[in-house]
Amino acid sequence: MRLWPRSLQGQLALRLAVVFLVVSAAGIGLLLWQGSESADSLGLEMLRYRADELAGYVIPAQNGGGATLALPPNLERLYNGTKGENLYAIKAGGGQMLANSREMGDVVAHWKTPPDKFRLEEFGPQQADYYGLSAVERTKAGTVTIAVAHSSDSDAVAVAMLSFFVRRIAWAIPIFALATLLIGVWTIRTGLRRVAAISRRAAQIDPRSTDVRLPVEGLPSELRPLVQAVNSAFDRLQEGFAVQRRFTANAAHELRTPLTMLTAGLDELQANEAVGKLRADVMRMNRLVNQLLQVARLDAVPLDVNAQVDLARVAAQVVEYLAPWAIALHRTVGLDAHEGPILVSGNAEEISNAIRNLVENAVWHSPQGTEVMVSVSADRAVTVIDRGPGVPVEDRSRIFSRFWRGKAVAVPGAGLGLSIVAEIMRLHGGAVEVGDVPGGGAFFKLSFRGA
Amino acid sequence: MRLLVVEDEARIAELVRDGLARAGFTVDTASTAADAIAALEIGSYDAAILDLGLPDGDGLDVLTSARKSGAVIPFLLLTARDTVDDRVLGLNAGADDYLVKPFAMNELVARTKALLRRPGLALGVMLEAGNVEFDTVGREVRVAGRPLSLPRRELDVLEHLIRRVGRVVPKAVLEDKLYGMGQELDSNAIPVHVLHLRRKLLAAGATPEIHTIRGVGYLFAEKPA
Repeated sequence: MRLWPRSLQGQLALRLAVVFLVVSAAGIGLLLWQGSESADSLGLEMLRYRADELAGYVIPAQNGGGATLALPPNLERLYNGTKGENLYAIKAGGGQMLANSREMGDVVAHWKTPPDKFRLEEFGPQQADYYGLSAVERTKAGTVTIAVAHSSDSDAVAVAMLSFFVRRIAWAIPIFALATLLIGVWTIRTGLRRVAAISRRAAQIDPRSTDVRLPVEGLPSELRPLVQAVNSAFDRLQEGFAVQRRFTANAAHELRTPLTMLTAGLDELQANEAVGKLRADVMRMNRLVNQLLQVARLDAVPLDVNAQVDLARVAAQVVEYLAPWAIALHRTVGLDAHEGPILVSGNAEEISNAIRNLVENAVWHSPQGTEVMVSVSADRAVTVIDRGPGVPVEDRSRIFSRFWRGKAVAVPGAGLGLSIVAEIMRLHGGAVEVGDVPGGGAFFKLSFRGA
Repeated sequence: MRLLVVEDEARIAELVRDGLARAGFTVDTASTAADAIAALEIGSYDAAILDLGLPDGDGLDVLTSARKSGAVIPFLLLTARDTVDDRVLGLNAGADDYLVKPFAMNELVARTKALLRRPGLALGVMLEAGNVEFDTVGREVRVAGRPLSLPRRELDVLEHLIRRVGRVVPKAVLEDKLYGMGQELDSNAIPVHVLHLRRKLLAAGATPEIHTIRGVGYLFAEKPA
């Protein structure tokens, strides 16, 4: 589980929440500490007052010599009540115990020098904690040491203070925290709204629309450098693509012009065997130029493969286009297409090129008088089947590499056709597969993703 | 018939001019877009053959400018660019046909003739393919000069095949042209007509023959050498 949120909103909320927790805890802690401090000092004041009060009731003993304590009934209840909240002990200047409540006397009797303040833990029948002080008091019966203790209810004081704090003050903390969080989230939301617009714009950029730029207006200044850098990266890419497109267009023109001259020039000549061979040479040259241009285009410019393409239609167009040429070579081409469109996501022109390369290859490798079959199936595949010698198993992994040529047949071309097919299929996220046809021949199957 | 050939490569212009002249056309040439636009304004041409890559501008500019000033003559584009985009661009700009370089001269001549006999131009009532002649007005067919009598449907099929000689005519196109929309049609009707027509042409000694392109349509073409 990822605890640290990725979104700025999440991070801000988390950080603010931590800050509020720490500040609230610190505030409450401080209040409690100060509260207990003042409770302690209040308690000590009270004990001092009580010690003085007790001193007022120490009177000389009637039987002469010494002193005695004469508590009025209210103090009697205070010190000797059932709860045992308050304790006292009075020691005469000579060291003998004058009076005490409950077990307090034992404690005081053992004091050599009385401490100013003391604590008694789990003391007495109540097993309560006490705090107390001792003081040397002048009385009518001479100097005595008076120790008074009060059961330590400082926890109760703290609880009381805390409940007071929660009732009167603490309820505001979550509300205040929530308000701050909302303001933070709202600020981020409105600040980043432009970013969502930019994301939508960026999503439109594809190989065909490289001129789209991301808007900078209205952006938070923190994001501007990023968007400007992305835009200038797009500028450089677009320029690169434009150079490559111009290059392939110019190369096409420059390479085809002399071929056109040759073809037209040969057409002028009286047909004979030599002219026929020259024509075949020019045809071969032309195919090579076309394939090199295709390779250059595929390498140079990213391909847009997101259009909806009807495989059946593209295959029919290729068959239509190549049939006259195949018939001139004493072969023929046929189509076996599923009824209705078979839609895939891709680039119609390059899919057409892939099928065309396969059909051209198949025609070259077929014996005269046979038919090359192009079959389009509903599982979004195009299969080109020939009646030629087939592809030896050991060659099958290599035939799709550039400039690979089989030994057996003299076929015009530079071994680029199948590498082009493989590249086009790779760009489409599809696959090309080669195999044997029962009864002799090879099949090449192009499998596409759905539309 | 007067044609304008716009081509900046002098050697290609010369070869194209000679080839078309041998086919009986009168040919003028222009080597720049400016010359071409000027020539189209003053000369009266029956068709123009236009190279897309010109030194002073795109051939498409010539086409657009000619169409703007009201030229209705057919334009055939010659292009070294064979991407679909370029072809679509050319046809959208008002071109009637295109050929990708390099092309065979007889293909250029055949396409030019086909453009000149497009409906609306009232030209070329006599269609030819090899030794087969088709008189579109009298609806008569001659093979090697001898008349061949054919039933109406077979004449219709032959007319469409001969108008697109050397190219595949989809079966669906024949069905549409022969039977129109919404008419009851036996899926075997066209194949049966083609079968009969093929036998009759063969028996009459025609040099071109009808090839069946399975799953697509039919092709009327000279027997391969």
